[in-house]
Amino acid sequence: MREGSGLKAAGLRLFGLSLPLLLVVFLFSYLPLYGWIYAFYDYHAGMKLSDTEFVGFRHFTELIDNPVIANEIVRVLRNTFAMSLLGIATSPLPALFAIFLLEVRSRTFRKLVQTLTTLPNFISWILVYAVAWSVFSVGDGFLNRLLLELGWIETEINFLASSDHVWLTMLGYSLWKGLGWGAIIFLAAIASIDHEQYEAATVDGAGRFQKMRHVTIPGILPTFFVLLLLSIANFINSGMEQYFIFQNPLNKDKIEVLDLYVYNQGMVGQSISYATVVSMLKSLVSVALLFVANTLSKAVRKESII
Amino acid sequence: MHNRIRKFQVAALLMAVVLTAILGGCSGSSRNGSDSADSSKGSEGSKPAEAVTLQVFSLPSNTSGLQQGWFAEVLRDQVGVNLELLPAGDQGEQKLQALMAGGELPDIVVFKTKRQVEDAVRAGMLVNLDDHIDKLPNVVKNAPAALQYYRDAASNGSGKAYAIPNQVGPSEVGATINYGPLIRWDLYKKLGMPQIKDLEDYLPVLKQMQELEPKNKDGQKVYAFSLWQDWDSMQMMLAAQPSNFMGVDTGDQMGGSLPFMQVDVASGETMSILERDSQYIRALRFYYEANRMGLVDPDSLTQRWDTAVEKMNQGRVLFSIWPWYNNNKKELVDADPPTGFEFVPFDAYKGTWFGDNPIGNSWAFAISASTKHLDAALKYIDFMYSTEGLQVLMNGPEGVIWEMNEKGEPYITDQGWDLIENGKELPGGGVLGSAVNAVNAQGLSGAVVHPETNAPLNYALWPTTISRNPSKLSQDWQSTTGFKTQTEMLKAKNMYTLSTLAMKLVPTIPEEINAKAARIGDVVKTNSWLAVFAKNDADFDKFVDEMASKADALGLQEVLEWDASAWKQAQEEAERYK
Amino acid sequence: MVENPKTIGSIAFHLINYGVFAIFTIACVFPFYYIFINTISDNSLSSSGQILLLPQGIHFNNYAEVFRVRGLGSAAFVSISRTAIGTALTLVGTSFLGYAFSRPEYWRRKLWYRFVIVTMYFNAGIIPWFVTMKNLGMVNNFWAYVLPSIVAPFFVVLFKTYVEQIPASLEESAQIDGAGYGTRFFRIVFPLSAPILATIVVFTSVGQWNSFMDTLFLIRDSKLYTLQFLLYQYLNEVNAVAASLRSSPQGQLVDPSRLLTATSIRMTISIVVVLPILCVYPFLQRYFVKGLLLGAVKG
Repeated sequence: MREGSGLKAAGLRLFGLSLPLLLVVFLFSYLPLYGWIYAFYDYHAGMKLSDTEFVGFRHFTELIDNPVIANEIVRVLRNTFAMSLLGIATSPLPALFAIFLLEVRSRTFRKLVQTLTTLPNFISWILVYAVAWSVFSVGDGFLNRLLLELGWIETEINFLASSDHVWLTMLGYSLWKGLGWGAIIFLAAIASIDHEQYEAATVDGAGRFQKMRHVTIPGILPTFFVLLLLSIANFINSGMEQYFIFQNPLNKDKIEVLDLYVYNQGMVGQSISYATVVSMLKSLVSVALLFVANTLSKAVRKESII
Repeated sequence: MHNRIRKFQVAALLMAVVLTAILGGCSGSSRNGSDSADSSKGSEGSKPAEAVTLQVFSLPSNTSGLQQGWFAEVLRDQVGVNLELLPAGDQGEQKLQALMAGGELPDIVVFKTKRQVEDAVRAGMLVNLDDHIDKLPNVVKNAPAALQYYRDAASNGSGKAYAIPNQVGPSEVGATINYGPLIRWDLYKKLGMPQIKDLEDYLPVLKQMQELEPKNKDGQKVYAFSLWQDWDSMQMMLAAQPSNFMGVDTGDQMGGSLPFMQVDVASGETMSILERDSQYIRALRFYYEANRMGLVDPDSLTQRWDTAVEKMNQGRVLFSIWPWYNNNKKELVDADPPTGFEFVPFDAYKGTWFGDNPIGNSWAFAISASTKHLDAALKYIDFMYSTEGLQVLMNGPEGVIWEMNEKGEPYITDQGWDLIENGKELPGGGVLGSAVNAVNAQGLSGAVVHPETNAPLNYALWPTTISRNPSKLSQDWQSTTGFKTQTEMLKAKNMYTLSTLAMKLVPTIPEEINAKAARIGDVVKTNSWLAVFAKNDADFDKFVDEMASKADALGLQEVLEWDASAWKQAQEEAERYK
Repeated sequence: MVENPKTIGSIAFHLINYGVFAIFTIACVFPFYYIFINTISDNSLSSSGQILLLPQGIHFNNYAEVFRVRGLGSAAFVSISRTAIGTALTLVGTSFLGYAFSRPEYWRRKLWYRFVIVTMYFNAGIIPWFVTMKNLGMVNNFWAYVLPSIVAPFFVVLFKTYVEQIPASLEESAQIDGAGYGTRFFRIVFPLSAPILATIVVFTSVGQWNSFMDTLFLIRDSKLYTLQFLLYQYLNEVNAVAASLRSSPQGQLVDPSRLLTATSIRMTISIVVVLPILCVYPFLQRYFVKGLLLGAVKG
């Protein structure tokens, strides 16, 4: 038996073994995509597609058929970009969190920190807002009362309604909420680095930061880049719960990301067709970004993740 | 080694088998639930017929699962049905669309809007009730106009009835109508009850009241208004409210069915709410002035209803728009001296009073075309339109909560009040309100008069309830004004505007218009709040002008044109359902 | 300790490191603590933000209310089952697929790999999803909870990346023995991947535990309700009952202080839901902490 055909048979066997899994993916992720056809019809639930009017790309063009709306979309995309880029720029933080946590000597302290910092991940945004309210609101806010007591301010500051630094504030909240949780993946990645490398580095007389630089960071770099690429591709799905909860008329100009804008416009709830158009466009952009980012990664790191 | 390989291959094979088995075979099991429930429950009641379990999908409902408690027993005994509610949660609309797209609806559906009924009729998913009208005697007797209205307006042109609206009959007006204004009565009296001629005159009075009581007992600042924005849909909800004091609807009672149009209820005249002399802009200016005077809670921009109502409960608010939004706790209204909110209308007050509503509201019962229990479903719906059925639903069984007194009037017994006020469970389980809340839909209004008791169906509207031990605060109000109730005062002074049927007959808004309206609404909401919190008059004007110009660019004219034609149609139709 | 702990730089490093972590941890714990003391404090005090550091008017009515929700026991059982079964399936399915995609001989590897990855970015919308689930027999069916998530593309990618870092020699040696893919996967790759597997378990089980939308749309039989769903529904009910009561004639007969607001219930629910996670989490943590210790002690 020649090597090549043996390998091919093995490859097919492997494919066969994973076929049930691919089938699951097909059934649960691909089958529902037939619904994309609704984007081209004036669809109402319960009716046969043949009974509804075919409208071609009308739902797409309606999204931007107006100068006011075009302006708004520019503004919203600016917010989406800004906040996503801030998120991507801070993506090394969970990795650093994990690296530095390992430098903590006390095992109890380390476990405690690791467990407790995941807590914010479990608090829903609406409760995060309730907590933020208790600290920052004008009438009842702890911070305002403290500052008044100390005599640092004359009148209360309306922190929550402020239109300043909205992007940074939002970044702060999401970092606080996700840092400990996001570090889990990197803790796992570090845990799986071959210990011999550390031993060898120690023998070579490497210090703490040298070991970080030459052993730990290269060890978690693949994981880091995978996550980065995925988050770049996902940037258009900036989510909306956080922004929805924190939005108010004063900061709306800066906080409205794409998802929130679409929601605020009331288009999604009204019509299945509109909702489909929006999610299609988002999917297409995300997948396109994924391939662009991957091409860049191939050019720069000579490595592809997809 | 080979063993292990086998094992793995077997496992993979098994997985594939399990998958196909599940995918192929499980749809058959889904119906079993209802059948087994049928047989298990039959033995409990003494009735000969076995109770049938009906699947109910009620969009207004917030409960799910097999209905239990005292009213479930009533339904089992008197109607022969158990209700199994499908969850709707806050995703009801989505779930309805999903069920319809899936091709079948559960036995009974309670819709929330006429549009939903129209969609379901067009998709052929509902039973034509006219084919079975002989089995709906109570519907025919008690809700004829409502039935006819849906034959005309929600039948996809067939002229048959596919759904029946809820809450048919007079509106539930007892001691109060739906609108205030109410202010802190104790403070107002301390000020010597200055005259209030018009809406704007409240502001100086409220300012003086705030000076009388700058802080509550916990040392927290007191404001006249503490606003919230999470109830806004296409406009600032709280700015749409004051127009109701003048008998003008600004999209509140018509539920936004005529977006951005104000309607003078008495005359039927209309106007865009974005015109400078509209009631809406007037309300924005009212709040703006209030804010300049320090009367508006600065947290109004960022708080939710939850927080606002808590502030009311803590006595940090002086002005209330609705009778039910108050701080009248028992220990306060019976204190010495009593404190709390009472109705203080201005001289020009003409509050909207909801009158008779023969066509009901936008919620509606319907039966699924795929039901296997048609007779039971018809029986249940008819029960929900019978005075006997609703009497039990709203007031519990006679003898448990209420009885007839020697004058032949129904009254809540001491035991009944104990059950109601302390939230205790009735025999059979569940508190009184749990019955209404389960499906959260009822055919007739609670103000419909029961032929035997000669009193409204809802105990809250019984004369015996309304006159029940008034608090010191309301006694004070009664002796000062010389009227027993708010409604009595309004009637005597002719200070109300009776709502008209046309307001209920506005046709469903077409989707393109609605999409435009939603976009405009987003601008209107944002700019309204910005205007209220503007720093000076110039800023206020700027935000209001920008609101109008953006709305124009987004197609306001088209929306208003549709509004006008829809309103005209509604006025014409109102003649037909009188 | 190999390292010399005495140098000033090292001491400063540790001071700062401990300090920063301590502060951040407090910032993470405080809100949780705040939520907790509010659930046991007098509801009217808590909703006005008067409870900040210490609980006042301690009571457990909120918990009593929540635990009075009907069917909590069976729902907890369903939740635990879906979490256990769902996590196990995801663990095996996802890691095996990740492993398979790491093998260069996989038939048309790139194509199938992309076939799986891009699904992360598709969202057909809830209606086509529901119709598909219905056609697949997933309505009112326990399997609807666990089957769709067997393959989690995100972890397929992570697992593949991870496996590619395992020294090839380890797996090769088994290949020479003539072992098939199953053996190699279960006997060599799986044990070597404890940290990443633990990660998958943590993320998947929390996802399973917290999900309720599938119940809302797919499940009719209350025997299949999950804990999160019951609590979600209870919260909705509290909101709605208070709102409808307020504007109805009955509402005017009710003392306003008895109309509870939803915030305290919401807070109570989030404590009730997180506690089980916090109880289980340390056991999983072992798997990555063990790895950490080895690396750190020798470092």
